[in-house]
Amino acid sequence: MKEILDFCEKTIREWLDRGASYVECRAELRKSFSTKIVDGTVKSLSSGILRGVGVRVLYRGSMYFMSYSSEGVLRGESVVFKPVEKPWMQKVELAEIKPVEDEVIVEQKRKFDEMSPEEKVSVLLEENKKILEDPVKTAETFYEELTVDKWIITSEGTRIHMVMPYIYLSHRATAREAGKINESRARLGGIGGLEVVFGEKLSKTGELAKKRAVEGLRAKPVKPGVYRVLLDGEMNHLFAHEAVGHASEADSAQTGSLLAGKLGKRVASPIVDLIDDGKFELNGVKGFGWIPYDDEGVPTEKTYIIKGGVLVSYMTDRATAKYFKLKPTGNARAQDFTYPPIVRMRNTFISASSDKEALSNEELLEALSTGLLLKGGRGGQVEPLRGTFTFGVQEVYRVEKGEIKERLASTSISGNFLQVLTKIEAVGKEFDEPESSVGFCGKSGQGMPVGVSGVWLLVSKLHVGG
Amino acid sequence: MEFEKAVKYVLEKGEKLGAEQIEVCALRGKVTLLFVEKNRVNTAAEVISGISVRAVANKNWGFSYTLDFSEDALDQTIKSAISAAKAKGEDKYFESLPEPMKAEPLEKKIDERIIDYTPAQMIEFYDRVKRVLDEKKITVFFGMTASMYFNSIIANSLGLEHYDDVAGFGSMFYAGYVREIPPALGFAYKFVANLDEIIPEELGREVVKEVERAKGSKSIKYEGKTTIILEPTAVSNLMWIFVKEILADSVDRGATPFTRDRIGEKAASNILSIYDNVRSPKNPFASERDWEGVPTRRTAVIEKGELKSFLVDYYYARKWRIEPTGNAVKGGQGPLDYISRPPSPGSFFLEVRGEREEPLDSIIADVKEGFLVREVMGVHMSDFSSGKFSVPAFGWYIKGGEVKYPVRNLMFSGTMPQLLKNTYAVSKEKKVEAGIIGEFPYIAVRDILVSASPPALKEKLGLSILNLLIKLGVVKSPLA
Repeated sequence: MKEILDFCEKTIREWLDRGASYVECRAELRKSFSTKIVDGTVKSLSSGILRGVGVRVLYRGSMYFMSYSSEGVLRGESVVFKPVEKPWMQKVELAEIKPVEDEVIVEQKRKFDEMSPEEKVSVLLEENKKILEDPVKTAETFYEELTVDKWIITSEGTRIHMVMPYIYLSHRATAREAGKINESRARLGGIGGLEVVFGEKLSKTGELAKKRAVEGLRAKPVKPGVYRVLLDGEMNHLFAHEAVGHASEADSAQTGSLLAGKLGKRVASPIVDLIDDGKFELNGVKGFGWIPYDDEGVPTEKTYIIKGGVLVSYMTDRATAKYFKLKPTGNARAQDFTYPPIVRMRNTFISASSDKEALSNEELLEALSTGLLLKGGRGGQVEPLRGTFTFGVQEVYRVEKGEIKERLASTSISGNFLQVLTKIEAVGKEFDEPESSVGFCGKSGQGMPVGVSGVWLLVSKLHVGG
Repeated sequence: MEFEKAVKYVLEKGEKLGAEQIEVCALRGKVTLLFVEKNRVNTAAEVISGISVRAVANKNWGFSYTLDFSEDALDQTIKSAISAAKAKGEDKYFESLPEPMKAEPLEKKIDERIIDYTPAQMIEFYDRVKRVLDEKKITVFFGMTASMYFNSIIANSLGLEHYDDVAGFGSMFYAGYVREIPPALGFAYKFVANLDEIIPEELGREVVKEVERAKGSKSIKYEGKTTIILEPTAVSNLMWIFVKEILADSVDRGATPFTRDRIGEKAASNILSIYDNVRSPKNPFASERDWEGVPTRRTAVIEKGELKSFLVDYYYARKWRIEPTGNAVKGGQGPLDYISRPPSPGSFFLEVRGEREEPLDSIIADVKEGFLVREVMGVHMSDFSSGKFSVPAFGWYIKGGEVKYPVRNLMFSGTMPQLLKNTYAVSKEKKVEAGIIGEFPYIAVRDILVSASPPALKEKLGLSILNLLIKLGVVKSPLA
């Protein structure tokens, strides 16, 4: 990395000499290993190293971003921008932060190289084969390790070195019987070492994918309509992230979202807090969106977006924090050195605004009485300008008089998030496992690891579609 | 090390380091981007070069990649690919990397202006679009303009060698009329290989047209099976499900309703044909060969309703004892993905066609009751194995052969096989779209389950009062 770090220092000096008011370099070394196993056969096995640097320059009120792979750095390639000014262009200003010098190396109880590729493949092959049991006709297992060794160096004096190991496993099972097909998935992952995946939860993840596929295949469809529902921890996360989270990213609020202009106003049931936590950890497990510093070098924190039903903050980067006169919340993230940081979530969930009012899952089932229990998400999407959201549900159960009855087929739910936020009647206190609710969020062409699970939620009205 | 020299080095060194066969894919690219969110401007310029290697050992292949062209880094990449091949274990169906095959020549011309397009020019381009929208008091929420140039070499130790250059310029705008809540939204997109084919004012006028026709949307109550006409954008988005189901790897493991034993069977309405055609003159990234160096062609997947073929790379072609269709793709979200991902079956440029193609107006005129659907959300949540989908949509209510008014909060559901079978009309009008990249018409489908529920009376009243206050100028739109 030495030549890249030297390049960063040189680039900062050069741009400051040219009159830039801020320069930020993000140097990265990304080492990855991945394998895909399909029906007991290893379909792909790959590894590789990506090295490069992303540079942001604030010059005459405009922000410019350039990225270089390592060959470009060695050749000393550079891009010179001719500034353009238009009356409508908003000048970029950054909220002030205290420069930080720090090093964070995430501990791995079992380092990635403690198992050889052959050993990993052998264990994963066995897990994949276990899923292949009638009526599951096909099973896909994907495993990935990624170590991101990152330096953030700025003209303000920030110098942060972070080493973040990501580990991720997903199983996809497809059951087929009597002309019907049903596909389900289960995931496991986190930030740490091999211990996150290669432990007791490994087999459970495969079993869950199989169970969801088989039960869903034989289940009756849900009649489309409006239901009283209970959302599990994974669905809580999906709703908090997709429906509300995206609309409360400050860049969305600035551009236009249904939460624009609503700071300080009641937007949800008073029993609701909505949190985006940069340092979420539960029982020693880090959420998949855990970051000690964001990609602008801002320290992360537990950010309350909604507190007691009132919108109290947006998630910000330094530019949007300045614009809204909020403090920077450490939400500026970039997929890798080829992308500029933008406002992104970390670990997002809804929790009870008061511990006293939080209910156990059993109490929540009683409070639901009759309705649907929705478990396990299958991704989602929101349109922040209209507030419309949709997401997939893997497991649906009919609940009658507080008792879980038969399984119904997987489905999707949709609605307007502002309406649903006011329909949250009760909030749970038992947090579902964070390592099984890991995902990748897409925004402006960038994919980002995000978490996390949450507690169960009782919603009085939700559109469940066929 | 120089780009071309690095390719030669890997080919020469591969066998010395123990590879039975070796393939190298080298890519260098330049991407310039402009993102505008309302009045906030961000520009980005990427200069990227890298190498990926597939090495054959132990009757299988392994994959590795690097952005460093030093001898050490290239040696390490070759070794990693070889050890990956060994760790995978023997694959009885793997025979070889592709042998050199003759490809039909493809005439294309690189527009050099795209390569040198600057962020400053992009801001000027954006400014011209914005002026058209400003005249109509339409706000741009998001605009993106990109110029892309890639130069690649694919070569293998069997003598295959393919050099390619592609350049494309694309621009999209998502805008809305904010003096009504929820806002009337619209978007327009264009992706070209020649800068003369994209005129900012025309793009602006297209955005205006889309926003204007979305004004005054209603939320209605509807429940039941009806006819829907999908606009090209919605067709392109839903084709994501179809493409997943016709990839050789999905087919090989049966994770699709379109299995191999169904070749020759009816899989769609007789009037429907679907092709993958990387060579389309409308595709700025048209290429003679795929990402394994196999010659490309126009592949009929469905022709007049009959299932004809799948999208097949070299591996599955050998396994199934058929000709490869030249459908090995690479890539994902950004240029790095072209380096860090191995080739696998995929679509390049889809073409949906009708046996009889009618003017859109006459298709609409024949609909007694139904919906014209412009956009859908959440297709990625669908069950790709069964093709089951359930998606929120925005569209227009049709009654008595006339488009009546825009409708929000629609939800429609079904399966991809059902959608293909129930298609009864295909329009003459077509557009190039970017959901699944390709050229798509409007298609009319009958018996699709549609549900919509209006908001509660209290919420409806609240919205009406807010819109009245905005109209009277008492309050400012929260989106202004």
